[in-house]
Amino acid sequence: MARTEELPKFVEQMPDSDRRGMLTENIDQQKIEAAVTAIYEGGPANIQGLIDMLGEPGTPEDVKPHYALHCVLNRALIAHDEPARRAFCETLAANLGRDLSNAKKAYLCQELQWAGHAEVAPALGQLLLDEDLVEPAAMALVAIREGALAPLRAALPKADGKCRLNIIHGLAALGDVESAAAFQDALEDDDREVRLAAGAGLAKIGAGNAVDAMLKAADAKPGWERIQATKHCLVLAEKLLADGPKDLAIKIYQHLRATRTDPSEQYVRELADHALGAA
Amino acid sequence: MNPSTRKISRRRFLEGSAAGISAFSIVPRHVLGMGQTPPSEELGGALIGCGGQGPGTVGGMGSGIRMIAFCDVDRRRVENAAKRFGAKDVYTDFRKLLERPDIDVVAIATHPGWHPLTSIAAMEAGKDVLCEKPMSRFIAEGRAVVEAAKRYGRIFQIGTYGRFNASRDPKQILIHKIMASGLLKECQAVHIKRGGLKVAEWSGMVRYEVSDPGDREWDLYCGPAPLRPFHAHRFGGTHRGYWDYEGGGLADMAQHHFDPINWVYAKDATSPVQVEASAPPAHPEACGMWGWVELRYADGLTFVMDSDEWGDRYDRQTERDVRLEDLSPIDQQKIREMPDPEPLVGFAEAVKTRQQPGGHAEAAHRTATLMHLANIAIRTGRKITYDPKKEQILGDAEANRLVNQPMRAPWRVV
Repeated sequence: MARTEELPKFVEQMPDSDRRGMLTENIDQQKIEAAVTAIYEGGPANIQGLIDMLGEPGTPEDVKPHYALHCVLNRALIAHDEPARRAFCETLAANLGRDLSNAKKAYLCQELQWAGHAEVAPALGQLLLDEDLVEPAAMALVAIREGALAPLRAALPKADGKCRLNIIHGLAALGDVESAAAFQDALEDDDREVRLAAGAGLAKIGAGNAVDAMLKAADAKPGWERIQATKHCLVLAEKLLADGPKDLAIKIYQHLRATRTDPSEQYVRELADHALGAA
Repeated sequence: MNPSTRKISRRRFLEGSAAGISAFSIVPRHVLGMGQTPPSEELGGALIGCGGQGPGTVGGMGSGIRMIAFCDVDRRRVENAAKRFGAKDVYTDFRKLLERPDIDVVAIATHPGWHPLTSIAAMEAGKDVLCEKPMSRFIAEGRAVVEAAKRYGRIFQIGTYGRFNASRDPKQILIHKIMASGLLKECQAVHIKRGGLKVAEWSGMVRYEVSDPGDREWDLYCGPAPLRPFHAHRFGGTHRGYWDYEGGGLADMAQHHFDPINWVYAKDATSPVQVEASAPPAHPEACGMWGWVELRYADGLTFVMDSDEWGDRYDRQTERDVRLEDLSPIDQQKIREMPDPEPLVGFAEAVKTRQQPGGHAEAAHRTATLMHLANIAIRTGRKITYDPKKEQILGDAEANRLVNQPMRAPWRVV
C-alpha cells in the first residue's frame, strides 16, 4: 500500500503542545482518533512515513509524528487487528538496520516493546552487541518474551562489558533454564553486576546443582554483593522447598545459619532458623 | 501425603514467614556487640532521596531515631539535607549507604521509580522501611516489596496516613465491619473521587530541550527505567509527569485518597476485576489528560476516579455508601455484635514491637494496584479484566506487559 499523500496533514491533526511543552490543552479525542484512523488505513507505508518524519527527542518536529506513531500502533491493538499489528511492527523492526540516530532506534525499540511479538525478536537481537542500543533492545525482548531467548543466547558468547551484562540480565529475567551453565560460569565473572545477574538467574530457575557455587558467592566479604547473593540463595531455597529437592533448601538455610554469626547479620540467621523450623 | 515430599508453594512459604514477623528481632545496630544501650532505645536512621518530600518523610518515622546518613543522586541536595539534620555522612549511591550496619531504619523519598528497589534493598540489608507514596511504578514490583517484607521479617510502612484517621471514625468502622464480615454478597457501593488529582499540573513535557545533567548522577536517577536524554523537567518534583518514574497526578494523589478507602472497604488483600477508562490516546512517555476511570471489584463495589479536568463527567452511577440496611436483620445484629477492629499500629511502634504497621506492604501494594490498573486502562485505551489472585491482566498480552515491566540492567527486584 502506498504512503498516504495526506500523511503530513493527518499528523498535523495531532494536538499542539501547550506553552509548557505538554499535551494538556485542546485535547480533542475525536480529532486525534480520526487522524489516527486515516493514518492506520494507509498501512505500513504510513508507518514508514511516520518513522521518516521523526525528529530528535524533544524537538518541535518530533512531537507530532512521535505521538502519532505510538497511537497508530496502539490502534492495531485496540482493534485486535493482528495482520496490521504484525505488519506495522515488521516495518519498525526493518528500520532498526537503517542509518538512523540511536535516539530514534531506541524509540523504535520502545514501541516494539509495546506492540511487538516474536516476529521482531531477530531484529532486536541484532542490537544486542551495540553498547548504545543494547539496553532498549534487551528490555524489549524481555517484555515480548516469545522468541526472545534465541537471540539473547546467540549473542552471549560474542558479548562483553555492558552488552554481556544486559544479555545475562535478560536471560535471568526470562528464567532461561538452558542458560544454567552460562549463569554458573558468570558467577565467577570479573564484573560484580554480571555475577549478581547470574545469581538472580540461577535463583529464578531453581538450579539445585548451583547451590554450592551460590553459597560460595554469598560468602563474599560484607557489603552489597554479599547481601544480594544471600538474597539469591534465599530465593533459590524457597524454590527448592516448593519444587524439590528439599534437602538442598535445608542445606542453604543451614549454611546461612552457621555463617551469619556477626551481629549485623542476625536477621539472616534468624530467618534461616525460622525457615528450618518450618521446613 | 508424606510430609517430606509435600510441596509448599513459594507464596505459601512466604505467607508463613509473614505470620512469623514477630519472630524476627530488631536491635539497634550501634549497640550490637557493645552491650551499652538497651535495645530499642535509639535507632540509626537514614534517608534515601533528599528532594522536596524527603525531610517530611523522616518526620513520619517518629522519635527515637538518630539520623546518621543521607543519600541522593544530587550532591548539593544530599549535603543540604545532611546539614539540616546535623549529620555528615552523605552518599550518591544508596547501595553504599545500605552496607552500613549501624542503620536500622530507612526513610525513602526518591522518585517512585526507585521506591520498590530501594525498599527491597533496604529490607534485604535488614533495615525497616518507611517509604513515600506511591509505593511502586508497576504491579509486579509492588508484589516483590510484599515478598521481601515477608522474607526478611522487616517492617514496611507506606508514607500516607489517612487510614489511621479512618480507622478511628465510627461511620467508617461500621462500613469496614460490614465489608470485612463477608456477609454482604453483592455490594452496591460506589465511591467517587472527583477532582484533586492534579492531572494537568503533573503532566509530562513532549517538547523540551535536552541539556546537561551537571553533577547529578543521571544514570543512577533513571535507574531501572530507560536512560533518556536529560532535561530538567524530568528531575525534581516534576518527575511525576513521566511513565518512566511515576504515573502523573493519578498515581501520586490517588494513593493518598484511596489508601484509607481501601481500608474502609476491607480491600487490603484484593483488587478490582474490571477497569475501564475514558481518555484520549495516551502519549508513550508523558502522562497527560484523562477523564475518568471506573474500577469494579468482584463483589460489585465500584471505585471511580474522575479527573474533572478533561472530557465529560462520570455519570454512569451515583455515589452510594454501604449501609447496615443492605444486610438482613439477622446479619445486621451480627455486625452490631462484632468487636471493633484493633487500632492500627504506627511505624515507630511497629519497629519496636514487630507488629504489622497500619500501612503495611500488602495494603500499600493493593492501593497502588488501583492506580496502576487505572493508568494501564488509560494508556492502552482498552477495558481491562484483571485476576487479583494471579495479579495478571486476562486476555491482553500487551497490556499485561505493563503489569511486569522489564528493568534496565543491573536493576531487578529479585
